[in-house]
Amino acid sequence: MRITITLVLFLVSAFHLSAQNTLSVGYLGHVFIRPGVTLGLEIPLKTLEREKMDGEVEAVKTRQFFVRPSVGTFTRSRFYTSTLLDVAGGWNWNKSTSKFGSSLSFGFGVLAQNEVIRIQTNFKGDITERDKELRGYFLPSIKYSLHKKLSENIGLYTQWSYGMKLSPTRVRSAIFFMELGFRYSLQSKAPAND
Amino acid sequence: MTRQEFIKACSLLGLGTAILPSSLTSCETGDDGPIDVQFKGKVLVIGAGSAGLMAAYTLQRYGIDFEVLEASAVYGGRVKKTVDFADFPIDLGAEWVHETPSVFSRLIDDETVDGNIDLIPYSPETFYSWTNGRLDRRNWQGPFYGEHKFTNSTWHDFFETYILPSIENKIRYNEPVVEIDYSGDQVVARIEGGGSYTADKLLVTVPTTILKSGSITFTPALPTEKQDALENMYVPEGIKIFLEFSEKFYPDIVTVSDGTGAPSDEKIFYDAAFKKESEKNVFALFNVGPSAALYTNESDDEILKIVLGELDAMFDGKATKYYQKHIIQNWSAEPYIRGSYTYFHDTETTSVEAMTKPLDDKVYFAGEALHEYAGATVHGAGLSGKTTIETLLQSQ
Repeated sequence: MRITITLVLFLVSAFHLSAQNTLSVGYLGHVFIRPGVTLGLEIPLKTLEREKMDGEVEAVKTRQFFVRPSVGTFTRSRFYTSTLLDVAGGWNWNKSTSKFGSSLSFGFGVLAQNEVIRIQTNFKGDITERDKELRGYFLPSIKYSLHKKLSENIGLYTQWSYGMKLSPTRVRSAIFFMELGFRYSLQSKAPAND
Repeated sequence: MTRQEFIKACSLLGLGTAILPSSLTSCETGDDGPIDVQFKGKVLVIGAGSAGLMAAYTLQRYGIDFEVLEASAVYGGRVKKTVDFADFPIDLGAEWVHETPSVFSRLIDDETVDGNIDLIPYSPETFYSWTNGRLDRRNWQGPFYGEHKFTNSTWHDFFETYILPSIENKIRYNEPVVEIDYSGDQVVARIEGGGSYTADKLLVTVPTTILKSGSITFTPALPTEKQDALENMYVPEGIKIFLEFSEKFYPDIVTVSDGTGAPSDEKIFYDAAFKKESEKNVFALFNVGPSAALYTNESDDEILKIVLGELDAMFDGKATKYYQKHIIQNWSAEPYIRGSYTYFHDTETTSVEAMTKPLDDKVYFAGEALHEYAGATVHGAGLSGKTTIETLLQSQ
């Protein structure tokens, strides 16, 4: 939890450093029934724009390279609580005539999983003891995101990630994540990827 | 694998330790219980499996006169354990807890009972699939498992510790019922070889296979509605085999697809010592459905040969190389069980409703097949027995 709070503070601080950044807050989990939350900060590195006709309308196609640090936590009651620190690099693409944009990125994360290895229950239905074991993994991943602009600064996004839990002491395992949430940009005009 | 498939695929199990049997009889009359008891007579419970034991426990709790008639020489039904095979008790029958840990409080339903149950969250890390002669890694499926197992005990221990002490003097062993006569004011249970028991009401908790086989006749005959319900139910073959190896060469779980396509076909090899306090390497086979017939009709020696052959194919001959000993529990060969657990050809709800309707308010039915949402589980059977008795007690 301390790590999570530190990272959140770091991200919020970084958010104030640049008005180009996009903050995202969303649900994070393996599937819908594994509740979690993620906070990310997308920092643009380079933006490429190209004008092109989209039917009869002139559109600006944008490619924006970014780096996106994020912190997330998700839990599965009685099984584990996890914190995921991740830095992803990738690019957005969209065009000015569409409210939708996409991104593809590659992440490298550290997953700290506090795994419940034993529980004790009584006949009142209470969990009276819970033994946990902290397990750490490296988590490289590939992510695809789809976002939609709702206003100049606010958008919706969903992101799907496929990663591999790697540990020198444990077996490797594939892992899926889904995110669903909001993006908020400090830019005075719509963000390139929104 | 669906939850229902997984539940049925794993359904056998074990449990915890601390106990306070004295509190089990803390509610000696029905006057202050959670239900309004109207019934004052005697009840016969047929079968001492999970449903029968929980029914008896509930009757004892409300101070009702009862006897349990068990066909075999032991209680438990498809809940069975061995303590001699490994350095931890092994569930030869039901093994997993397919529910949240609070299910134990729902079974006991008495907050004055003191005790704790130790459980392991069952979330396999190494998960393989064996299909068409190929072993594939499926570790990503592990986190999707949401079951529990007993840490170093069994389902059998749960019943032995918390349920049996208050009812064991009411269980009559080796009393196979062959006829239930409910034509008169009272119900008569006639025993194979002679003898009978009489009561005001009777609860049938025998396996579906026994009812379907006609081993117990009803006088008058079961109504058409119930006969149709039984026609809709079937119980596939079932077997568990535990093998000890000198080396651990296997993952936490291997799901096996034999391609029979039968909805009831479930076959897994699994690490029986998963997260147990054990130094033994025990890999087990759980098989239910048509594919289990590969083993259930064979001799023990032939069964071992087949299983080792399968494991050798998966693990490059390591099974035979590291094999030490085994134990087989052939549920299809148990004379008063005859299979695994109940599936339904068609809509389950209609059949369950038909079967759980009492006959002339005198003969009731409960069991693993007859719980409204937890069929084919130990806790479902237990809750079925408990709630059916509660219904019975609220009738005149």
